[in-house]
Amino acid sequence: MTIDRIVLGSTIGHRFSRLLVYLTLILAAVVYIGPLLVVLLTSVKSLDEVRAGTLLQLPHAVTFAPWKAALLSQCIGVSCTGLSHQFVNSFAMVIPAVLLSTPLGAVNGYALTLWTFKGSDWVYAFLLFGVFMPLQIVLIPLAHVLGLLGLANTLPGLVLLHVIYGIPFTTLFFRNFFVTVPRDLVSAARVDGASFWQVFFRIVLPVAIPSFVVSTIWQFTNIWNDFLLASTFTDGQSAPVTVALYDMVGAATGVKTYNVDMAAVMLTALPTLLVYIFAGRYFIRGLMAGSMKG
Amino acid sequence: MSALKLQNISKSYGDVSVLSQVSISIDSGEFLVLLGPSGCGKSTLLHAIAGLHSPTSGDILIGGARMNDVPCQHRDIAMVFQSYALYPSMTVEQNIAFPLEMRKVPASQRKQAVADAARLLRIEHLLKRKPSQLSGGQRQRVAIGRALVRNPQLFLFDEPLSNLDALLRVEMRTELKKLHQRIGRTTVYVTHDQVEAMTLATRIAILNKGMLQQIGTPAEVYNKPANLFVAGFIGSPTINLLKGVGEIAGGSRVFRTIAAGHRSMKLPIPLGLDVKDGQALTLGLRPEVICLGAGGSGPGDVTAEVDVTLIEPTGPDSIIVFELGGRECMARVAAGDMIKCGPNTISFPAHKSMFFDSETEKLIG
Repeated sequence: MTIDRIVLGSTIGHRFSRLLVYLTLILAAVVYIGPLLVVLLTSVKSLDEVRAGTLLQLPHAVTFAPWKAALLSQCIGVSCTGLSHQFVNSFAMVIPAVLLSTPLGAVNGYALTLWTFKGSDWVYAFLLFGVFMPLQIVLIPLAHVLGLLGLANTLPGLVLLHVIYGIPFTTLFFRNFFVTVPRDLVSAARVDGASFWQVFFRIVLPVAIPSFVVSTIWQFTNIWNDFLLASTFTDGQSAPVTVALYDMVGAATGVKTYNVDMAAVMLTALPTLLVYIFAGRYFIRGLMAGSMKG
Repeated sequence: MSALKLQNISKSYGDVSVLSQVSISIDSGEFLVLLGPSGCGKSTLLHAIAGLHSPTSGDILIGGARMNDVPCQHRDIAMVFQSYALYPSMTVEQNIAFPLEMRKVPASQRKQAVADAARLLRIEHLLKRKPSQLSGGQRQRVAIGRALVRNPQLFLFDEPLSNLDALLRVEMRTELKKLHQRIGRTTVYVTHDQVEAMTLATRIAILNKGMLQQIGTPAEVYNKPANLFVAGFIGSPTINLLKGVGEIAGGSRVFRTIAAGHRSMKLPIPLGLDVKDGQALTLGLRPEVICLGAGGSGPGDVTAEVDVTLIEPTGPDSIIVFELGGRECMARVAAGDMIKCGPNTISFPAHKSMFFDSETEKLIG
């Protein structure tokens, strides 16, 4: 698709206002990219160089030793194995949590829009409540429930919480997409003899791929970045990487190894960054899905 | 045995009544058109027949069996939607085969049935395409093909032509008629377009405000409309309706128009019509009944002097607009007969007029 350029005014006033827009945008970009640059630059300098130079100085000799240390040998408390174990924990948490909450949201959204039943609006209203509810107020009840289930301080317990907490969000995504799907499509399929699940898998699912991408990105990012649930309900060896990062950086004693800390930050943020870079365009497309014809 | 029987179907949403006491019975092979203005309940009725929702009360019988509690996939019906409702992720072939697949018809049989339907609708070259690559008319054909492929007891059409442009609509209308003549399936067809209704239907059921106004052949509803609503809804240009009163004195039976500030016009009321003296009547005159020039001198012919204010040429004939009995009236005349506006003489035979009771709005006689 080619995009035709819009016609812009060419008087002094027009040019000046355009300059203002660009300056504002550049300023905003600097505010956001600046810290990232500092983190990135620091993470590839040796500790001596970090101490000697300024924040934005380019490294003399690029070294990946801090990255290696952050991943494999930096001490967290008494265990000196870096973030590797908790990094694996994070994947072990985020993958099942996303794979469970997204399809559940899809079925919910489908049932709540295209297969409505008496009281379905109420069900949706209650589900939405989950979106707006601050997690802090349910931490203690959650702890109690996890204890009863025997899942306290375990990764499966954390997965369960993320799945349940994610359902309102994924349902919201899919519902907002499915309201744009013509009801006639479902009516036609029903007349043609398709059941609830046949309509879902054969008719609705194939057109909902962008919603799946959006929901997956959203869930992946939120669950990976979660600190509150992770720090409350896991410890030590069962903790995901966000908690380990905090322990490594915040609770360390002795010499501050800024370069390793920065490398650890980059490592922790890397998966969500990659998800955004590679699937971001689907994110935009998915959020806009249905807003325009074609 | 009737193919479809609707008994006292009512549907209401809370206090809002959408359909009330509709009863229709149609025979096998009939083409019934449900006609009415938007919001008259015709689509609601069709959806109730399809089983997409259930009526509040009343019975639906298809082929003699009560269907109220039968889910739509077991009703042996096929439906064509206004939006076509083609499955966007499937090819044309998969779309048409879908209802067979859902009924577990073996693949080889499926292929044959799809090929037959495609040939009938002349869409064989489109089978591998996706719906998004088709034009409106082609989509329409695919939607019909999907309905056709299963050989259902009953075809349901929900305003299938209203998304097409004018030319294509006329073309598809003709094709639908040919198709029905060829395969002779019982069909229920919803439309708000009276031309579609007149051309396609073996019988037309006219609905207004959720109530059945009249059911009959196209000729019946046109020539003998049951009430003022039907008379006004069917026919283009619309029927001329003049308010007046019946005057029965001795041997003379006369209808006299009443309109404040206008000269009244008189015409004889045909024998056999049960009209009382002083009864408020409405005269209905189809535009094509009125001719230019003076009529015969007999009592059965009515002649009037009018002032033609507007001429609308339509090609083969022209619609002339004039005032008669205090109302703006229209007449259809041959194209060359009237070229300039101005005073003119018109006439019509009294026996081609219709009389309605102004209060009950029902046709008299």
